[in-house]
Amino acid sequence: MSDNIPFDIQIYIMKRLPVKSILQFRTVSKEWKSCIDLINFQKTYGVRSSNDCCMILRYNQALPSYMLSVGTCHGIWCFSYGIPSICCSLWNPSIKRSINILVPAFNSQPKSDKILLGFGVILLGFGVRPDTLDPTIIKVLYPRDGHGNWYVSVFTLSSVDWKKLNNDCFPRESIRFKRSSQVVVGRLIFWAGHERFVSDDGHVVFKKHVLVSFDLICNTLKSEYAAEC
Amino acid sequence: MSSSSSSKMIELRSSDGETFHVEETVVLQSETIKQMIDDDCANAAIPLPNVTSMTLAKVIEYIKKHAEKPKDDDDKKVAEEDLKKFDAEFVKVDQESMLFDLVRAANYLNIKSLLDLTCQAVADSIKDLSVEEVRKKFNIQNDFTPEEEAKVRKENAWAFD
Repeated sequence: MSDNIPFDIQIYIMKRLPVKSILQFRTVSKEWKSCIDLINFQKTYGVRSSNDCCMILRYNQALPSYMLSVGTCHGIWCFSYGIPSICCSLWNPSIKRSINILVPAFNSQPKSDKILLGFGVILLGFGVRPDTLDPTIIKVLYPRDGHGNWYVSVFTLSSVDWKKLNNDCFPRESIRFKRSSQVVVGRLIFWAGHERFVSDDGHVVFKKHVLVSFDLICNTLKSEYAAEC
Repeated sequence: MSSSSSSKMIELRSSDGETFHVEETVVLQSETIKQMIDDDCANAAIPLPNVTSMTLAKVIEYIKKHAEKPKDDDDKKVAEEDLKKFDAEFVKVDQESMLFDLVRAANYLNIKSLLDLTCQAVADSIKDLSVEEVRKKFNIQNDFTPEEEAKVRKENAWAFD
């Protein structure tokens, strides 16, 4: 019998490795990498390694503010904290590590009266790109009232940098997000939101529920009306 | 063994020609052999051309231990603990090639619990190794160019530090 372990048994062994080793061993060979990157591998890995481990996350910081959960995806948590400058923490409980990311402050944004401090709203979203497993944070900055330009930028852990998105990939600017409503499904982050329709004299005529999605692979934002129930 | 009087003996022949006599109830833990018995192919000694006598002896030691049935509920707890200890000791083999032989034998004979046990032992032994050491262990050729490898490493920056 050959001395080599058949590949299907190598996979069986891979699934028993701790997460950190699995990530490192993506560079063993192309075969190992494509196997580990398969969504099926990650699903069965998660099922097998589930245990009753409870964790408490504690954080110390000087800023008098509280921590909000942005979202969770692929076992990684994203929290935000700090006012007025915002920081994000990515926490990977499997390898017990976290990384802090500074969210660019208002002064690095284009000048817009409506988006000045106090009038602008920041929405953060978090997801992991399914093909490259790259943790990604999206920041949408929009005026609190009325219409005005959105400013959207995307952070990827692989680049450790924020990149501004072009206006042509945004949905209508009259849409408002519901905070902490994000859900990640596959390559899309979804938020619940609404769009207000205003009559000529400024009264809100009616409100429609909207689902906004961000595509982690194409980096595009889309919106569609949610079915009324 | 208590059940020996009621159980038929099965003869197994290793790749190097040694024969082993094992009770049918014990050997049925191997799906591969169970299939052979069901297909009525087990009248003569069952040849196992992929398993050496040294490995087969270890496998038989394992399935014999795992075939032991506790008498009552009190006994059950003790037996479970005992089996855990046995499993932990079982995979502490002197030579690493033996562990790999056991993985292959468990796979060939299709004994799920032994495959789980030995694969976990291999995983534990490689988890802290470098990528290069893992390649060596499994005889894997690095088919990445240095640039490609650097790119993949960069994708999970926080796993390398």
